[in-house]
Formats: sequence, structure tokens, C-alpha cells
Amino acid sequence: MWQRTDLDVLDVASDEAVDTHLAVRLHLFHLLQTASSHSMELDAGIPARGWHGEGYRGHIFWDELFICPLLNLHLPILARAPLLYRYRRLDEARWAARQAGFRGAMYPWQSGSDGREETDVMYFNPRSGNWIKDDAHLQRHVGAAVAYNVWQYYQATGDTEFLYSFGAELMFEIARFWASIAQWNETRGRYDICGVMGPDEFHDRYPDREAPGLENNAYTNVMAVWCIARALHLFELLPSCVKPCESSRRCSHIGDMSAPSFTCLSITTALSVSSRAMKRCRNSTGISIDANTQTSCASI
Amino acid sequence: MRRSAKPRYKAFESKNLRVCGAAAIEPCSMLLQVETTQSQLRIAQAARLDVRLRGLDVAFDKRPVKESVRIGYDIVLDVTSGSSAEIEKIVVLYTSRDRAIADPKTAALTALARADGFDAILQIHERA
Repeated sequence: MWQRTDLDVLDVASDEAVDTHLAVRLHLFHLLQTASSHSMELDAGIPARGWHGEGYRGHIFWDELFICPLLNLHLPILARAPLLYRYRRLDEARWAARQAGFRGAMYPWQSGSDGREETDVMYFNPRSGNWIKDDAHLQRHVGAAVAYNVWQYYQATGDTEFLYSFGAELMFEIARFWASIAQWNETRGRYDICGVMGPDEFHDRYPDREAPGLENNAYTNVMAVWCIARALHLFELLPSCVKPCESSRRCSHIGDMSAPSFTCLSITTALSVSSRAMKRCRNSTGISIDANTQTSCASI
Repeated sequence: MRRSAKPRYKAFESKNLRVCGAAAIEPCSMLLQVETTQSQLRIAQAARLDVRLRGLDVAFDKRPVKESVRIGYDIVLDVTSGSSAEIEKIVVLYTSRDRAIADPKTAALTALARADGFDAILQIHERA
């Protein structure tokens, strides 16, 4: 395992190169302690501090986003494990989406055993000694990371068995969530995603507002558009035998928890909504991107 | 075992394991079984002590030490200056989440009975 993951960082025989290589190897060591052949069948996710630290209480955040690029290329069988970990918690994410009034699957910012939201509602600041309200659960972008990891894994491995059996369902359900949380803003002629927190946890609400959450966080919006665009692309890629069934076009029970199998998923209605969103997007009027980034939809 | 590394979490429950059984096993092995308090996963840990003087297996005096949450041995050895004494402890651990086992206790005891000594195990770990 060590040989398969080692990275030659710098091909220079200097002390600095040795130090850099040593640091990379230290990180690889921690990574392989957390994601290894010993854990891949244990229904264990990738916790923020690995399995050997008590920080973050072993909670699962979005950290497979950072290690999957390495695992995809060096040990793809280990990259598949955290994706299946998410797949087994898809029903819980569907439930969370429905409870919050959305369709599809809404993955929790922090979770543990059964995939329910476990983000703190209050946070203790050890420096000030104060308890402050914690709205980090509004980091809806975590689901986009799951979809991104599925796609990257498929790109690296060409594992169609995984894609057809698990990956596509994950990506469709996550895309449906984004399609339903995006609200059409008539005035601006664009879709908005409101009431979310980006990965920057120091900005969780506007100073002049009581309600938590931001509008059109750049990272969240870019990833939302990516998820929807990729899901539409994936829908075209799927062979007809694994596509959601035609009858699902007529289904009105979007987000139905009882949808038991892939072929009965009622994704088509949501995707047609997404298609509309994407057409607008192609007309440069789609989901809005933070004005500061000056990123246009067309470039996504 | 306690989770107590993070001072910030000291208000939380730090005991996550409950001991289900601790037993000494002849000639010089031991078995400790615990269960996680919430998920009720069973964990079995078995260990074996091998004692050598100057590279030779020797007879030695031993006495099991059994406390409510702990099992082990007191070992009495005659050692002389300049000669080597090795006490080797081989530990195996199985949980009820492991695949292809009967149960954690059976798996741990079987693996311990089959386990080679430290040098052979080290070679396997180096190859992994």
C-alpha cells in the first residue's frame, strides 16, 4: 500500500526536498491509517481527524473530497468505500431533504453512524468561554462534494458497475436537491440559492439579519450548477436498461422515501426542471454566481 | 480506555466501552471482551505472552492478575546482568463488524492460536 501511494514530490537532492517529501509521507501515513483495506468493508466514513484523534468527535464532514483524488488514482478500491458509505445513507439524506421542504437528497454537514444531521446547534468558544449559535448545518455544499467524488471516481476508473448500481442514483438525487433549493428570481432573471453557508464558516449570516444563511454563496452555486449539468450529462450517458423508467415521468411523488429501486426513481420531473435551469444557464441567466467572482455560468 | 485527550470535550461522556468479560487462558494468554456503549458492537481482544531468556524458551513463574476491567499476568523471572530477557506480547483484535467470522471471541482466540511470533508478524507487516 505504501509503495502504491508514495509521491515523489521534488526530484531534487536537497534538504528542502527531503523535508517536503517527509511531510507528504506523514500526511500519506495519516490518510492510509484512516482509509485502508482494514476499514473499507466496515461501513466507516472519512472523519475530519482520522480515526485516531478525538477532535470533531469522529464526525463525518466532507473530507473524502480531499483524499479521493489520491485514492482514485492510486488505490481506487479504497476510493469506492467512502462513496458506498454515502450510498448506504442516501435514504437518510432523502428524508432530510423532504423534512426541509426539498426534493432529492440533502446530505448532512456532520453525521455519524446512521447518516442523520449531527452538527451542533450551539458551539462553545474555548477562548471567550461563550456559547454561540452554530448554523453550520446550512453548509448544503456537502452533497455536491459527494456527487463530485462519484463523478471523479468514475472518470478515473471507468467503473460502470458502480456508476449504474450506485453512483448515478447518488448524482441524480443530489442534483434534484439543487434543482429544488434553487428559486427563480423574476426580478433578476436568475435562480437564487438562499439560506446557505459556504465552506467559509466565519460568514454564516448577514450582519443586519436575524435569519442565518447567505444568498448565492459562490462555491455552493458553482457546485450546484456543476451537479445539475453533470446529472443531465450522465442521464444521456446511461444505457436505457438502467435509466429511470418512463413511467417515472408521470410520478408526482418526488422525493418519495419509498422509492425502492433505481428504476423506479422519479427523477425525470426534477431533471426537466433542471433542464429549464440549464437552458437559462446557457443563456447566461442561470443560477447566479456571487458578483464578486465575475464567473459566468457559461464557463462552468 | 477513556476518551479524554480533548479538554474541550470533558463535559461529555468519556467512557464508550463497557467490559463484558476478562479471562486468563492457560498457559499464558488472556481474553478481554468489551462492547461499545451506544452501538453495542462487540470487541474481543486476545493476547499471548512468550518469555525467552538468552533466546531460549524458559519456564517462569506467572500469576494471573484479574481486576474488574483488566486482565493480565505478573511474571517472575530470574535475570542476570549481561544476559537478554525478552517478553513478547502478541495481541489480536476482532469486532462484530468484521466479515467472515463466527463471533469476535472465537475469531480472536483462533487467530491468537495460529499467530506466529513477533519477527514473522513484522515481516508480514513490512510487506503490507
